[in-house]
Amino acid sequence: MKRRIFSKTDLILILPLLLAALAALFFLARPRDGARRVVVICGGETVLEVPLDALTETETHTFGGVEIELSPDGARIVSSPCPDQICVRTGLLTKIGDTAACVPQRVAVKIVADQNDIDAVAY
Amino acid sequence: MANSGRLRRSALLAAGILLAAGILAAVLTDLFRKAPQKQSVVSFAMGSVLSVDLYGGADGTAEAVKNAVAALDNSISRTIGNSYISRIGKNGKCTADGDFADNMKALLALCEATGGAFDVTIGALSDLWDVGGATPRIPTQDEIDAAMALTDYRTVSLTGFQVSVPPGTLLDLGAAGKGMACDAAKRILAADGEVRGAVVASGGSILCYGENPGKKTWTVGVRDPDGGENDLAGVIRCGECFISTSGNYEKYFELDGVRYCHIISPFDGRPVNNGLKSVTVRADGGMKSDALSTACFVLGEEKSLPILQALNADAIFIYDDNTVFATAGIAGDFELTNDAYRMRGA
Repeated sequence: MKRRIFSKTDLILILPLLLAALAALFFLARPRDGARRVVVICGGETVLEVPLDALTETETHTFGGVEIELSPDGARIVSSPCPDQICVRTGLLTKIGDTAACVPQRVAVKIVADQNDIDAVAY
Repeated sequence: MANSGRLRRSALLAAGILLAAGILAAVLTDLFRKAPQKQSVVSFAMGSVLSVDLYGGADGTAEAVKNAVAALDNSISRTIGNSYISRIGKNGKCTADGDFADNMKALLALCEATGGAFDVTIGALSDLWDVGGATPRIPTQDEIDAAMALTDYRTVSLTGFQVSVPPGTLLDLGAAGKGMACDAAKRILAADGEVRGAVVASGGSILCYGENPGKKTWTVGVRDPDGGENDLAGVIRCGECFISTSGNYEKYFELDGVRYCHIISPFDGRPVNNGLKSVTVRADGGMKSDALSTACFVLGEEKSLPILQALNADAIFIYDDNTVFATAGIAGDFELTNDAYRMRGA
């Protein structure tokens, strides 16, 4: 009689182990938290924090007189009473680290994530 | 036969169990690995955004960095009425504190080391041109001559904690303030003792502190002078260091097709227009990197090189024709990421 390498009892032990190992490998290879979030700072306080994935349609918020538009594509400052309008000209923020700041109104909008490719920008 | 089959089976089982145990151990390590806690603070100081991200350290250290930078701003800002700088502007002198006196001493040493290309007495010229202000204009030569007569760092007197300047001379630390904020931040981070790594950005002046958890280096973008606020020309991969950039794109006005940038040369009293778009400097101090980026922008590459070498700093020069030159110490850490630019000679 040809004898099998593993008996039925062995398989009962091995199969769950194999499945558990596979599940563990998937766990280890999971994408780490790189989800983009929009953070709005007014004064020195974080007044809004929204994961971009959570947005399904465009929404508008106003802080310190600065109008901010959030959409699944990103965030941008659409209007501000400041004289230089640098914040409005900055346009759509999409990448992690992108920032639009209205210094006169003390409002900043930033795209953040727990992991980022660029730590800071010198300018 | 039966024995060898049993042996093979046992070996396979043992291998399987070992493998499973290994994977389980990896999962447990991953789950319970103590990731350093990240603290982030964003606020406004030095006429710009201050951003602090730090890993490890005591609760409140990021907040302490913010407070230290705010305190520095309160002592050196030209727009805060009661700052030491404003008081010197009004009265020609002021008795400051030890920190301010130490900073002033270091600033004057940098003025000297750069042959006056960085000059803390540039205030009268900055006011005259008012680039980035409400009323930018091209002054007459007489006006420029009059303001230049008030511009000479060698006229600043520092005795103990007392700082004085000749009548009409105005101190302006705009070319070094954001870098000084990075120095102040580093002192707080070092005093904590438990901060593993941190990035502090005072406007466009950067401090990379300690190590970047999970990565070998920090990555600092160098702004594309022709692009938007968030566009890059390239990236610098670095360890602990200070990085500052001076460029003609940040604040300027244009008249008859000529761009007048906010960096005024103390040598001719006019906005710098020498074929450079920006200079980025990496150094071992924030005040040094910031002041040097301005000085190198004023001086141009050739005159800057011996000064950079003497002060143990490196620089990346971006020219109007989109060529880029990096000094030997930083060339290996710098990578262009924007096709519009090319390394010189490449």
